[in-house]
Amino acid sequence: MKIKASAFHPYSWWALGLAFAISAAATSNIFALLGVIALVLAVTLVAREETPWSRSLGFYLTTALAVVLIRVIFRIVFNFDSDTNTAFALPTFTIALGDLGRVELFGRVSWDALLGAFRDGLRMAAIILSVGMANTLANPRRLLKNTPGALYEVASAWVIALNMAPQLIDSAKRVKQASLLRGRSQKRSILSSLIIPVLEDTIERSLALAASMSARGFGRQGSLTHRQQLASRLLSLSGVTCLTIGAYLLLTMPNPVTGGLFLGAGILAVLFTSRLASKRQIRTRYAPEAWAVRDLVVLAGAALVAGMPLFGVF
Amino acid sequence: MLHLKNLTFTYKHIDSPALKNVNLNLDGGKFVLLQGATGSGKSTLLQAINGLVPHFTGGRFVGSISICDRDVTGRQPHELAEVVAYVNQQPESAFATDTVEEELAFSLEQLGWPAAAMSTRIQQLAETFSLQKILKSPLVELSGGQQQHVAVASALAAGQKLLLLDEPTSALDSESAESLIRLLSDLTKNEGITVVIAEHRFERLLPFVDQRLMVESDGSVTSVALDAYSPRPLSERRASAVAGEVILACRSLEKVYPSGFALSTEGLSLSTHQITGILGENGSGKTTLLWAVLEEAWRQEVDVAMVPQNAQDLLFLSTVSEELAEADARAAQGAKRASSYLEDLVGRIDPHKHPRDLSAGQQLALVVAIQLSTRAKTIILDEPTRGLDSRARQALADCLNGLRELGNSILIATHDRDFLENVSDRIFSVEKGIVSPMGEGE
Repeated sequence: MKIKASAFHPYSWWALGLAFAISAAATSNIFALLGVIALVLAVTLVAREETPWSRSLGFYLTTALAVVLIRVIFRIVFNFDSDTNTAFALPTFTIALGDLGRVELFGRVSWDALLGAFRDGLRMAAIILSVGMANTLANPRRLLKNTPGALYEVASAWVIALNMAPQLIDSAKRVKQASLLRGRSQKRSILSSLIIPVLEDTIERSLALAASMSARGFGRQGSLTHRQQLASRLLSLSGVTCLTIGAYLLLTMPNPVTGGLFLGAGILAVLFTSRLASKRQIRTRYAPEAWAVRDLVVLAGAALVAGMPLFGVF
Repeated sequence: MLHLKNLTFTYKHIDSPALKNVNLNLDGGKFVLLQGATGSGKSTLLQAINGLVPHFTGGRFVGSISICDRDVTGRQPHELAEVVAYVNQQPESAFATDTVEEELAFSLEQLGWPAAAMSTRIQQLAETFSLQKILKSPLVELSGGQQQHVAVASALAAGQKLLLLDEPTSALDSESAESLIRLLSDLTKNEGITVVIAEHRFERLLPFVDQRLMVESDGSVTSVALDAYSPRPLSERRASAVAGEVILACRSLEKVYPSGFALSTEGLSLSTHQITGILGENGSGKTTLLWAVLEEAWRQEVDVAMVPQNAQDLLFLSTVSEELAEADARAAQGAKRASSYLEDLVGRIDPHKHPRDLSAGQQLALVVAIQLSTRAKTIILDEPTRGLDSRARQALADCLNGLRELGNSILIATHDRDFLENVSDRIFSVEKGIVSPMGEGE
């Protein structure tokens, strides 16, 4: 049976991606990291479909590779000269910085240093690829459709922006053809003959879309006053920001207190605003994304992956 | 049901009003046709009724509007969403979602329908507008006619009793247009919806409409008698078809595009003193064929001028007069000036206007004039009658006939069968990329 990314809830892919990222961040075992990377790539390649957002996989792969290389190269350049377990020796460069002392570059590089750098790079690469997997597999529009009500307008703006990219390419192509047809005297710059028509075209399309959306009721505020709406939007944005910071701190700092506080505050803010919004919002949802059994399987897998380092599996 | 009182609207930076002292009373369940020359203010009137004018355009608005005995003067479009439904010329530019079902739900979501009522209503709409089979389909994969059906269904989702349509058939082939008009007529009869439709090519609407209104060039709106007609049929042209010499001979074109679209035609040659028509529905491959011919002409270094489907792409200067001057500067010695072609086509246009502020028909006429002035022997036109009223269509036909007399070869692709049958010497039909002759013009 062919596994298709679109058959799953988009949040499932993000849960799985974050789970992989968490377990990669928590482990120091090179084989475990290689295992995570292999699993992530396998899942991505198996479930990937031909979609605009799935084309970014190459970008994540390149970035991951670059991160590993840069980490190792930096370790060789900014090296602490050591005479134990030397892998190879390079001449030492000393740069005097006056009162600040001096910096030594290169020198004898130990196997331990190389391995440590490789492990750190691999960990970052695993996190990048995990996020990349979620981005490659989850349809951004469906993801946005399931955002809390208070963020509806922001989400809609995102969706329209996403729609605009292919349109922009399309109109650029058309305008270029057109200028070929008309020919143009030397004094006309590329700005006036290409960029301005493309922008005008884009703005015109956006206005047509805005008019049509407005004529169908988009932009109604329900019983929320403008001030309340602004407040709820700000609160939910800062909630999401807190969540991000909290997750980052939890993953990177040894002390879980600060990160936990941020995470808790974020969760509270998001819950509060979405309750407020759903109470006051006039808007309703047609067929919100449903969770299926196969999503539960993915979520269970995600819990298992995230739990492995906690249970000391690696 | 709809009452306009002393409505006057003036765009910013323009002295004369676009709508002048309009008084109008429309009853429920009526099919109302809004006529008017290219650029006269039909769209402005429609948008004034649902608040897009002045809220989206700026400008000075005086007068009052009431719908269903409710004074709605000065309301925002979204406040009027459950009262007035609005559909514009290009449905694909108006879609907010990805699939038919989501698009139908969009309006209902905005108006806060409960989910259960929504799904009942969507089934109902699918039945009324024959969308059952395509409910889950992506909007981009639908034909122009289907897209327009979806746009109307989505606009009327909340059960509005007033439907405004701005040239809904201008981008449709005649079959899809007929089917849309029939559907609208049924809506007025069965659901008591009042339909106000702005249309250039209103001939085919006449059997269905209950009332005709005309937006005059000074911005006033007058009533037109139902039996008043009618634009004269396109002139029966032509001097006997003189077989000219071949300018451009295309060998048989066989081309498969990356999208899987295949174009195939026997050799197609264009001769002097000849108008060749390409007839086909939207998406049949007309445009692809024209570009293939154009590339062939470039390869053979034959002088050629083309007016593409999105004609306004060719306009990039800030006034009409600059555009015309640019064209004249590039035109061949002794060629007729672009401005005089333009005047032939649509009469005088304010030379200080920005080309983007012209109506679609005027823009097209401007581009046609610019391209005609290059004096190329071969002229290719893609959908040249889109947005033109019958006077401008006649003018274009005369103009093309004139060029034919002068020895030009003209290639036109369109879904406008009437136009083609009247001007062209021979017609080819295109269907799914297959080009075949439809016989010499009778």
